[in-house]
Amino acid sequence: MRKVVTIQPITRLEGHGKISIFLDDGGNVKDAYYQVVEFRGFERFCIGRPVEEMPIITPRICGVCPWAHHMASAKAVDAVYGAELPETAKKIREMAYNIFYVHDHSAVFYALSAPDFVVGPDAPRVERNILGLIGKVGLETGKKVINARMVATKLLEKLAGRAIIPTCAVPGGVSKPLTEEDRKEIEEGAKKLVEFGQFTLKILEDVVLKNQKYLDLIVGDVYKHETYYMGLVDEKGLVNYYEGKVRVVDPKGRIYAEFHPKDYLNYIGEHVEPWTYLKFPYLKGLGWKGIVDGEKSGAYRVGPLGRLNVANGFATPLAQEAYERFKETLGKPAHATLGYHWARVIEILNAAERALELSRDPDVTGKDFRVPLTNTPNEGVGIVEAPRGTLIHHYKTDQEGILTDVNLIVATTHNNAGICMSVKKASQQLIKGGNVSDGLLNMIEMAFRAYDPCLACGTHALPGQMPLDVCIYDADGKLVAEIKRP
Amino acid sequence: MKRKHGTVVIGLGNPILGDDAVGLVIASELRKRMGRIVDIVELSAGGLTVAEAMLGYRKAIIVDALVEEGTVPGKILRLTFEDLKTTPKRFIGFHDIDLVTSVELIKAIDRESFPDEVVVFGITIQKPGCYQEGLSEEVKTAVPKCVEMIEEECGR
Repeated sequence: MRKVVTIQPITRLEGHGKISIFLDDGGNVKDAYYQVVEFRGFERFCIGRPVEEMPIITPRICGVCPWAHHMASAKAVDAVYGAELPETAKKIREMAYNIFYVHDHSAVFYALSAPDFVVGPDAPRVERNILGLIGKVGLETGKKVINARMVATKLLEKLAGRAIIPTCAVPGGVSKPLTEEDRKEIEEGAKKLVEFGQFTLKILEDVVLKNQKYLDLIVGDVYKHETYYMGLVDEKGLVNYYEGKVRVVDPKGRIYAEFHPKDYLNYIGEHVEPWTYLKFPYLKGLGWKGIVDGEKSGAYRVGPLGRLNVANGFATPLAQEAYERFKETLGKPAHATLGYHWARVIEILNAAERALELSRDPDVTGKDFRVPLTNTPNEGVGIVEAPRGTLIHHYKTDQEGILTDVNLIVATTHNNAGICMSVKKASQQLIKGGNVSDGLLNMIEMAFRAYDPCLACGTHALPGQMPLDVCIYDADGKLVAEIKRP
Repeated sequence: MKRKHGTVVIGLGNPILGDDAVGLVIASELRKRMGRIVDIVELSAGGLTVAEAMLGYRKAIIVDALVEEGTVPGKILRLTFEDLKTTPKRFIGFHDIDLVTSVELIKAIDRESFPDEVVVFGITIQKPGCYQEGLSEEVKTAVPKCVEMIEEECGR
């Protein structure tokens, strides 16, 4: 008889989801799945609307990374109209986007990732949160985190009117030029963010990397998958969150493909499984071989780890220095899933450095901040690196610019196979003979938390209960039981 | 941090998820009626961002949709922050941490700037299932009443 262990609710995770672990007669893990309950109909909601509205509508998909959707969408609309942006517009967009990265990545690291390490993976569940973290590392750290977030929020408001649902990018450029006074304020704020990035890296080094037990956990086999990786790189092959070509490397780190965003459909296919709404993207050249890693499998991973694996390095000095240490410890490509946390912290520093660099660029206060859209609209693809990984927006319109087709592939979808693999592998190694403790379950949760999966839809209605269901399937894929959380 | 003064009303919701937008609709209505007297903030966010938006005010009023199975849509509940901690009704933090933890964190870090009083108005809705604009008739009916209740709350 097959037994099922389900972890619910998934603590500190975006939105709602569930993990089902299937045990065999011996109490060992046979299968483990991570599933998503998501809101549907977004594409349908958009069709029939003017494409210019998309940079304002799409950030509503998700309150988690509105800036990522905002930027990918604006780039897709630029492409629909064949607009070539002035340098001022590109640099203002990129500067804002890098500030958003610091804001987002820092929340993820301190609120969601760090408690596992700082408080400890075996600590009771009630202590493994940011309050437990502050209890360990001190109130001053908490103050630094909140202050850095508030600096970033203020700068984003300056660039976009409001920080949460931005109005910075408009088709063909940005909504307003940057004054010298604002530029100076951004430069001062960005300096503070660089200091915060260095401080965060130090926390990671002191608390996680200097602890042999945690380091062993990171580099160990429990959370390791030899997959392909994907991410944007600039013309020098360095990490870039805002624009570039999409590069894919194989499990040995060799470049497998490098393509312009508009060609993504030549490289990425989407597999559907009956037990989840979330699709499984895969590399078309290799085909869908199931939820498995290895050179023959088309499964790939994106996000901080993916970006560091595909790129030649960072364009900013402090992040590059940190990246060298990352490479020495984890190798390249780094297959350690918990390396996502480390990569994320390096990216905080890189994004802050890049924002500072751009704030000092004379182009950002240029007067040429938007071009008129004169071409007949047709079809366009916009790709950015969302904090969680590659984000694709693809729009088709009629000659009037009314949307006829919309396709979005978000980071968590790219990572779907990877997350399922990690949950299965971790649970296989950590549950033996039916022996399951809270600490072990948390280590399984750590597997997917590394990806910072975002299941959000932008809602935060106050629910009476967590909407989690447990579905149990037999070997033929037939639903044999469904348990709702009481 | 600035010294505490006045009241902030924070409307929460997603404008393209049907009734989930009710907090934003109410905030927008309140801005027309009393935007010069109190600060009105509309947010499509949760957790830390909401807690951070309260800093510097003496009193914070949050208005948001509430999903409660078995309850008809359009019911208005006035809750204190303590109620949020002790009842099953709680905010779900979809990215960072949930609101209760966020508030406790922000209070621990900067108690002096945190409001003395936090009140939550929840309007019951059906669980949103797909993207759409506009409120349902039941929830729309609750808007003027909730606006009045919050106006009264601001005067307390």
